[in-house]
Amino acid sequence: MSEILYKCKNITKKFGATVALDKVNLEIKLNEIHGLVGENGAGKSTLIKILGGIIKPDQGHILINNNKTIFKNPSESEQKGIAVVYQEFPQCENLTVAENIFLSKNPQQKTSFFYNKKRLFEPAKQALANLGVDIAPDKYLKSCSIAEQQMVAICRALQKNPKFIIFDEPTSAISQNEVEKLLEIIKSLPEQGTTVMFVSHIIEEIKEISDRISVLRNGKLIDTKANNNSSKEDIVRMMVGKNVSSRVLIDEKKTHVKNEVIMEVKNLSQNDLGLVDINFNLKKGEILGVAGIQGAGRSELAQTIFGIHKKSTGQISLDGNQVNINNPIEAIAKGIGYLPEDRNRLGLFTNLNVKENLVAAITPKISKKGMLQKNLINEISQEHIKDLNIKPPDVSALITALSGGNQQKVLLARWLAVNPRVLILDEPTRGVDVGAKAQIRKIINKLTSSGIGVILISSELPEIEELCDRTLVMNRGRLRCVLKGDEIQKDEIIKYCTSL
Amino acid sequence: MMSGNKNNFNIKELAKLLLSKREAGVFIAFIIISVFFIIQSPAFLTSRNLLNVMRQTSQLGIVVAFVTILIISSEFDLSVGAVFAFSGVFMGFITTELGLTPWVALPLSILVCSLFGLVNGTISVYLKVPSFITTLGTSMVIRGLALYVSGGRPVSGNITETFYLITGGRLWNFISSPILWFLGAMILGGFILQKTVFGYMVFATGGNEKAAHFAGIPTKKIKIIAFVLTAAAAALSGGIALSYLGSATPTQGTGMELDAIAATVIGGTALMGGSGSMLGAFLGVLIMAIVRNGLVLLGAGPFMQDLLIGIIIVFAVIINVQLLQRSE
Repeated sequence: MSEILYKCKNITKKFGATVALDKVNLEIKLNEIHGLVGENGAGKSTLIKILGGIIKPDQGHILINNNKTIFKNPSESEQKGIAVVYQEFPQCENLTVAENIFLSKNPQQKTSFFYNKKRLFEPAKQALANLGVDIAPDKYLKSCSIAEQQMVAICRALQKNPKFIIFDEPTSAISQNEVEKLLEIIKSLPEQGTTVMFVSHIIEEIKEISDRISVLRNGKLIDTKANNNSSKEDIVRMMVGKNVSSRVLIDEKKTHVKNEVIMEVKNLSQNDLGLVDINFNLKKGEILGVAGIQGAGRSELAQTIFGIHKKSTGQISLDGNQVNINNPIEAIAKGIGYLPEDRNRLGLFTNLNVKENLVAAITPKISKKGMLQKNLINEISQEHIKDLNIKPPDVSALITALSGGNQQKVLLARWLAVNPRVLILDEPTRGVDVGAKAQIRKIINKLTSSGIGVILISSELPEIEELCDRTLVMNRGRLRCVLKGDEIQKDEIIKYCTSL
Repeated sequence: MMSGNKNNFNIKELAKLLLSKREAGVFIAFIIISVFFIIQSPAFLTSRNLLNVMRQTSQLGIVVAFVTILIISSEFDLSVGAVFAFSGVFMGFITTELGLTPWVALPLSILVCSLFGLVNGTISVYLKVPSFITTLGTSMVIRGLALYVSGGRPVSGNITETFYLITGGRLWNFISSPILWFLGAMILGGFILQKTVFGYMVFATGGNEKAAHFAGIPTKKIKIIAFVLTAAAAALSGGIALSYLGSATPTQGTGMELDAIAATVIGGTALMGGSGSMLGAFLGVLIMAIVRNGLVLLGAGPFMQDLLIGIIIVFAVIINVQLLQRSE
């Protein structure tokens, strides 16, 4: 039981100025289930990717049988017996379950030149039965549920007979019943000679199945403890850290909350996205946080309010009047702005310059009989560039020439130019450097003085602690609780995010 | 001494500025090809030859102006050749059989063909069929209609004298009217792209459709309008061809759609949408035209022509892509 399979030695990885992993030393023992926990951004994914050979560490190495190793690519990691089931597991939805299971290792390839997928069905059935799951091997993957697809992914990973299998947040997208089934399967793996690393946000799950638990925080390995020697509270404390937060804001947060309610959301559900019966209101000048882990339904909630997705049931009212919003155009016309989370995919026009990016949401304003009002565009852009201290202060610079933080400020300006009454910000400081982070937080704080209601979706709990007047905590498409004032604290939020 | 240095510096800066423009690649290709033909054939650089080249390519050019807008919005139209043929046949039919004046027939034809554009757009945008496939199908339908209406035979048009003068003939005994329509279409297309809100939305939609949708830009409407404009341009072009030639065949314009895409892409428009320019498209059309013309002047046989044009297209696009990548 105590034989050491892999040893991570002093693993360090930097992305630009951010240190994702800082001298991490971690031991994996043979046939254990090793739980790995940490907040968003603690470095879990980076560590997994290094073990999986997707990225290389800047320093440090992995010790296997006393040989120093650095995986240059995923197949090297595979050769050393490591398999990873990633959170977003790439699979071929157009093929059958059996074909997916044997995608890389095909049991009939050597014996026959001709391809007959039917020959895969029997071995696939066997492989699935070994895991105790019952999925028809001839079913097409696109008609499988997420949980079934995940089983197929696990089955596929096991085909390579790995010594060590890593599960990256395997429970985030599946229902409670399915979670229990999955945990049973994972528990049975060490008996069959496979060592497991289980990565999750949810402490109950980690506690339920792990032999030992490692905690990452801000890229550092805080400790590895035996499961029976540590309580849930210990683990939360290790995740959060003792000194509550390193505050980024220089000014104190000033609250501008008025008593008037600007927006009220009642019984909002979205069946396809799994949003269930959400109720809350937003007051004038308020910053309302939305906390939760990835997949909790935060962006989905924002996008449903903004009219990108059609709501299944429920009402939204603005200033006491019920409104019907079917698309972003109508949302903007009613004074709602939405800064989406994925800057490159959903926000930027990389083919356009700064001013053209900035005015995208105010096309009615910059148009006079269909003609572009170039002077007006310049004026508006210059004003916002000055207000938000965007660098370089050049309206005609290519957007791609700006740093991530400044790009984000341009996108923020896009929504400020709309003069919104309600502004939804989805991870506004993700992927920007510390300086820009502080500036953006200051801007958000200042915004509310003019009476704008801000909904702030953030995975960075210090940001929520620092800025928000109230905070919604979401978990699996539901609103778990609303925290007010002093209740908005990291460990409190984590408790609601992670408990079931 | 000082001023010499300064001049040097300025030239360098100027060259840098020119190279940073997105039309730089196609411009360089245009110059190289032109110089080659000027040296090789004395007949090339004569006003008569050049005007001739322009006239020959004007039908394609009118279409390219709007195909460029459509491609920037990240859609394709493979039915422009068929619409071009349909428009000619339709106009011929209604002017001779129904006795309509061409002044009515041309707008009517543009209107009918705009409906084809609307169908192309609606199927591609709302029913989410890739426009490559949609327009491949509708091109057969539209050409089929042209064949059906004409019985497969050429249709002559009943064209009045003034109409001929303005759309197909020569003005002031010097310049062919189709050239003016070609230039007009290019200027209009450039104006739409650069000066109108619609043009801005075309760039935004083609550059990042999701982001545009999230910013409240009516991306579907924009694309459909681009389809309608393209079909209308092909119809206009078909009318002008009918006026110039006096008749239309239902098989005319075969391959025009690919020439139009080639010219647009040679001109530096991104095949995936989001960027491009009318000046580049204009130069792209001219390159295709002078290569054809130059090869004829050099006595290359018709089979050799296609081969060489193909090679030149590939090289022009390579230069362009390389320069664009460097500037990014």
